[in-house]
Amino acid sequence: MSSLLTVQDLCVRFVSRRKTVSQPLRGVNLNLGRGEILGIVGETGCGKTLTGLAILGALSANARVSGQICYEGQELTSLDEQTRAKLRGTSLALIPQNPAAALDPVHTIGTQLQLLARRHLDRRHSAAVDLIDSELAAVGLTDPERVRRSYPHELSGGMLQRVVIAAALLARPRLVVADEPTTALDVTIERQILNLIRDRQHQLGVSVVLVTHDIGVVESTCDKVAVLYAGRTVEQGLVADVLSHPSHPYTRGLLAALPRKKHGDGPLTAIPGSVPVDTMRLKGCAFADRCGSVRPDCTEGEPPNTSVGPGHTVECRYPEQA
Amino acid sequence: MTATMSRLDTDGNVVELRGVTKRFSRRRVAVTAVDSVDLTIPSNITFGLIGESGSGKSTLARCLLRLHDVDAGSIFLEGDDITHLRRARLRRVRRRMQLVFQDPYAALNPRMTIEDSVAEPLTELMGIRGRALHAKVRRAIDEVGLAVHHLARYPHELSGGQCQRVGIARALAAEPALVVLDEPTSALDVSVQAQILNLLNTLQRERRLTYLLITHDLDVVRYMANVIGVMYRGRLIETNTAEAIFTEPRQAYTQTLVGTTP
Repeated sequence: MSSLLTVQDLCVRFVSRRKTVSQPLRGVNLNLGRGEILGIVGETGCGKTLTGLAILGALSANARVSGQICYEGQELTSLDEQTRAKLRGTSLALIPQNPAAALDPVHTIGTQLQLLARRHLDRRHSAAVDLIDSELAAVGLTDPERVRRSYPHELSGGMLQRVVIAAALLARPRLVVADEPTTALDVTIERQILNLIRDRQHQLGVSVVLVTHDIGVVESTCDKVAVLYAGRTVEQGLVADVLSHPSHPYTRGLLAALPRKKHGDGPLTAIPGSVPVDTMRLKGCAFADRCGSVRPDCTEGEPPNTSVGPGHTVECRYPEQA
Repeated sequence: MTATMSRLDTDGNVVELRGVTKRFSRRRVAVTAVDSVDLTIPSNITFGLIGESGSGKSTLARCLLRLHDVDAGSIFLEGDDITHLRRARLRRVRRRMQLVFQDPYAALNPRMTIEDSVAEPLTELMGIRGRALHAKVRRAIDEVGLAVHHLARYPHELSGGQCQRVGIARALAAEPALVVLDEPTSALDVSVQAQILNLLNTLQRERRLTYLLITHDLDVVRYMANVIGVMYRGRLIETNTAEAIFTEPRQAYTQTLVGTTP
């Protein structure tokens, strides 16, 4: 399958007013084909959301980006802000984490969706209404007219999540970044929303970058996965390969920490310690201080990127062989 | 133990709810959030309460903790009828039941140091002060896996997992019989969730605690709970051992619920 999006050695630095430098992204690599869902997984603070924002070009003004973000053969990082703004909403779209916060509480859903239709599709009122209604129906909202007339507070969390999915897909983007789209929902609704994203993705042939901290969501929803740790891609490949033969100790740790045990089965396997906050001072492998199979030379120089199977790469000096 | 409370022989059960009902009315429309719930929690077990958002899990827990007044029914804590206790007597009962919150940052006062946060229930509920207080806070913080240097910090300086450890230390400081855990790990990463769940299990073993665990994470409840109750539209529709709920659910709603693990 041809690539829609290739991210190579993406780094993001922030320089504060006091000239202190932080570098939350230090080498993110991603590869996403047309019509695929790629899961980006890792703990809080690993750079998942920032990677999504960097793809959309929605980072704050003091961010310094290096590396390549190649979308349909076009290098996005070298484009000016005006061109990137044009891509957002039309070719690239975001499904936000918290729909209640993403929608404006003082305008109806209809008003907000019409604003999008006018801005991105140049549709006038009546044509836009039909389009909006069909999109709301397509995301499983059975009474589009009532939804359009509603204010965000009048709808449930699951319905709002459907509304922002409809909003993201309105202009038929080719790439959607979904940032933790189900974190705020309960299990039954979570399942429905993930199925909906997958169904619409399939129907429209859109590609999705799904940011999540839940490796279970990756397992059930994604085609490919990239595991991020301390701002680097430490393992990536097809979900079937990576989750059945995890090579990086961090990926193995995330899988082992899942409470997939019965009552009385003994303690869970936690990953000791926490994600490094200051990535500027790291020497060698960033995971070394939490790794159960660390060896003395792991802290000397960056770990090599090794291929452990077709399309399955891992950044570890001593990867677990499949 | 305080006298003058009516007592019931509950066979060592920590919690006994009988016909607990709670209604809310909004614009003259009454909603029965909790509808005639009977529930028994034996000592030293984890009772898991599951159900979708709005099913009444949290309202039931708030009734039990006497944060809501019930409209009907009785609440017994270790045999004492606490349904209608007021003021000083209610305060005395509070230390025997404590709550661990879902959002560990929101649950801590951002302007209080960790030391003051952990000391607060000891002073307020148990009247401990001075050197004894100092020692107790240190022991509490040590038990939840934090170090003395964390005591001078503020919540924003700690990670989510560390804040939840503080929340647990606060809840356990007053030596309660019952701890209500309201989605205690849903704001945490799986790696940290594993640490917190292990900690809760260790503390339960060491201190013979009774937990009421409210969650919508089915993996978590299956791992943690001995007994599970399923709530649906305010009613407790099914109660059984954790394994039976997952392997032979009786009610149709339970069957759809346990069939949906992502």
